[in-house]
Amino acid sequence: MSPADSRPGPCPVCGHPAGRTQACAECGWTLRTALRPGPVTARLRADFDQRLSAARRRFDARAAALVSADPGRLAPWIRGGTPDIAEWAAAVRDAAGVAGGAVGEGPAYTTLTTALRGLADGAEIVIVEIGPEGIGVTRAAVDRRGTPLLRSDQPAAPWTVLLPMLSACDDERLFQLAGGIAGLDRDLLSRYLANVVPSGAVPAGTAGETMVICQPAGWRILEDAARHVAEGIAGATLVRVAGRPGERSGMTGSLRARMPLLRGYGVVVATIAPATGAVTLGTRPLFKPGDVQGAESVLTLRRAPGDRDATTLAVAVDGGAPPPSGQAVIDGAGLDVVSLHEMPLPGEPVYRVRAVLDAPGRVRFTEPRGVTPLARPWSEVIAAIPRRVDVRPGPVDLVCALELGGDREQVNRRRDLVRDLLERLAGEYQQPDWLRAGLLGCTDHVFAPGEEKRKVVRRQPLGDPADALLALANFRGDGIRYADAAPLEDLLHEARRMLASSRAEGRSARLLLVAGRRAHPRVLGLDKVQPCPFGCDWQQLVRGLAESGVSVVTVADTMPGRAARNGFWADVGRAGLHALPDTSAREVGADLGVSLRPGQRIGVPLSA
Amino acid sequence: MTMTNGRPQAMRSLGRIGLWGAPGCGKTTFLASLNIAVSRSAAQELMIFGVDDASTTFLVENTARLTSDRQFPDATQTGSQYSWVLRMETQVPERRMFRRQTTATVPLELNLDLLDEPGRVFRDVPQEPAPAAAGGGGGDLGFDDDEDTPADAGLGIPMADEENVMDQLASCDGLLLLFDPTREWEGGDAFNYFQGTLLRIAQRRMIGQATPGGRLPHYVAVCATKFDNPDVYRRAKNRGYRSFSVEDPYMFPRVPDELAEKFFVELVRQSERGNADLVANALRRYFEPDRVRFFVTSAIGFFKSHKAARFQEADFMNIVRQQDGSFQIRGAIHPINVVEPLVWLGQSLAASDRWRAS
Repeated sequence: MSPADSRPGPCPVCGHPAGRTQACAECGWTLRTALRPGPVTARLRADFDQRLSAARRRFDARAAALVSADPGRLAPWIRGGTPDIAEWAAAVRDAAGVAGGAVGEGPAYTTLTTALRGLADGAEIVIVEIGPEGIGVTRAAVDRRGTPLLRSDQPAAPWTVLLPMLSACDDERLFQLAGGIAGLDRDLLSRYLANVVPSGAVPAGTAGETMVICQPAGWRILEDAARHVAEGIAGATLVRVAGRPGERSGMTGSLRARMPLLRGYGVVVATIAPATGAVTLGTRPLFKPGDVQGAESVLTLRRAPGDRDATTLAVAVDGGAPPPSGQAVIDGAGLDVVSLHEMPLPGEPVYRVRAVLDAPGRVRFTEPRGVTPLARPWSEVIAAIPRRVDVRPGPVDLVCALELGGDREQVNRRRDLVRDLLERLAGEYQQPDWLRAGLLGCTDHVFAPGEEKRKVVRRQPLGDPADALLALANFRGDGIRYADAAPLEDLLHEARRMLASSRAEGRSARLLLVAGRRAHPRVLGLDKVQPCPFGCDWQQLVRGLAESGVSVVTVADTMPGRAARNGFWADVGRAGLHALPDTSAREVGADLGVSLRPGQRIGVPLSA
Repeated sequence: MTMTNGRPQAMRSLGRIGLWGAPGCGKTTFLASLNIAVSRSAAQELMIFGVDDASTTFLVENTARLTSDRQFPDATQTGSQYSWVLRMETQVPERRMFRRQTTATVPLELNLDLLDEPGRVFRDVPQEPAPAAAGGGGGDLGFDDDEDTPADAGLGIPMADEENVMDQLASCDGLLLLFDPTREWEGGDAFNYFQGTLLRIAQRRMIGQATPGGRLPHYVAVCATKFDNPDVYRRAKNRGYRSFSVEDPYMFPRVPDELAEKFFVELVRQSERGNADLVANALRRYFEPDRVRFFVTSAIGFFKSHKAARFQEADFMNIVRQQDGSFQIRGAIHPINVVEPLVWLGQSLAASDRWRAS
């Protein structure tokens, strides 16, 4: 008899080496009792067999219940026959209990992402996943955007290689892994499990942290393997995860997709400084740290008035480093762009975008329609953003002042320009009270006794542009009574009154003057032009408008001669001087700063 | 002069005054504003009235034209003669007891026969009238400095009529020479309308003079017109000729008579184009110095708003250019030195009559 033959046999229920104990240390099966007199009767043997069968069935059923909820799937390997309903229910209860202390996938991902989030730059964590397919090793790090970087130096080692004694049949192997190990040589099994680390299937030591994930928790061989691996790697953390892996590739396989954002994402938006028009870039929060796959976000954005081309939706890491001081536009280094999209601008100046987080680094816009990936790099987008623009954000007060003296056709042309401008702007400034428009019109001073002090200015107060458009129809022309000048000084006087409180109310003030003749002077000069009967001083009024921050654009019936351009017209139209036949509402709007100037497209949305 | 009870009686004097000046210098407007000037005069004894219907009609119509219509009178197309009586007062010497001599103020009626001829009459080189064009319309006769209406085209002055005008001027007792400085600055042709007429007058009056070496006997009131024009006014102001009369409640500026000649000389000297400076020289040469007097005048005066108490430096132009290029009078008429030259002429002629009578 060999020494091996002298060793006690395994437990007939679980296969654990029996030893000299009364009961099996693992399953509790009674291995020895006191001697009893008398022969072993058939009845005693039948009773023993029945109890043994039930114990085996119970032991195996628990393993089967860990693998599948279907009692019939692994029945061929359940010793003692198919469990009855009660036995199966008990097996399911037992299966639920063996995973005690394990965490769910969610907390496991949290533990994993917490470990990743705490990584120093360049550091990595080794994830050893022990699952039904085998043992996989993944090295994980995160880039500066918080996107997990995963790499595997070697393919996952299958159980058929790691434990050759396991069955080649998938279901039976699963049964064995889960705990159906009664038929296995325990010593051999333990020796193989102890050799997992030394064999190189798992790296013995890493410079960083090692996390050993055992999933599903409660599976006997997986638990044993995980314990051996964790004990064999210094500093390793063991995480037991309840339930089968959602992905065949384990937790790391879906880590990219399921990992919560370590850093928030935002949409890059531009801000225009009201005083200078300087353009700065920032982000509007889109997703926050911790948002997971499937998270949705809705943002309200704005386009610059007059901007009708496509815009770029750039998703960048939110809360990045502020731009270097003195830089009006953040360069590419300051904004960490995760993804780029091109979006056709809707007709409305304020619009909504809806985004879905598909995975860290992958954002998809579902609203509005037509958002497509942008092929150009972010550096090209940045390079096209102007450092400053003429259009100003915020509410606007606009006064359109026009000379009503002259032949009907000429007056109509002036009105047409004003109408075009107001209609254009009404479509751009749809928010209530964002644009207030007023009108002024002047007929000629009459230099005759009793008529010189007659009011010559017609007025439509600041209000809804639609009201101004309606009133414009009633601003009809009148004959010229004095050829050399028109009461533009009266218009400037009234305009200044209308716009006096704009700045205090936080509104930009703009004045458009459309006329054919110059203004009356305050005093009789060498040019012998009749002074204004009301003593209005157009030069003083122009200075006052400038000091009040009112931007003035003039449109003359014809471009004045050089001398005149250097005089009245240039002094008044400091923001722009145009000839009526050669200009358009778009050009005038750009000079007024109420509409985007061609060539100054920002290319990214404005913050609403 | 008739003495009654040792005291001088009212006087009557008949003076023929000829109006002399280039086209557009304001001769007709000057006359048209005469009635207004008399009405505004502080001298309550001053009055004017016509001798015949035409003369009265001229005063009535042109006063209304200037004040109600605020229009300038039409330029003179054909020669006209107006006869007015200008009633004023004059100072005459009065012999008192013990051979004391004082002056007395006596009424004076100056009968004025004013000849108003078209300005082109006085051009140096008389123009032969061009043949009338078909349809009666006229071509350009070369009178490019003539501000007469286009209807004048083709209406050249016959040579014989010009001679008559010269004869009449030469036979006048006094001459009212109107000089438009603005025209001189622009055209530089004032001398062209002066020296030819002067020589023709001299030819008629100085040939066969009883005493050789004498001068023309006329009294000449030289009136620089359009003082209300900003260019003329500013020159007076900037060069220190402007003053104000304390008796004028509206404080309209004027150039004092004693500075008028000097101002006149400065005005003509500023013309870079003509020889108007020769006018002053010729006046001194051909007329007795004490029979030439200068005035700076304005037929329509400066603008004053009815809401302003007095003249405003910032806004004084009393004409407004209309859309069609014509000018309209803006406000009330306040003539400056319109009646004064005639008063001086009248008093001078009356004094001359007394001298001759005595």
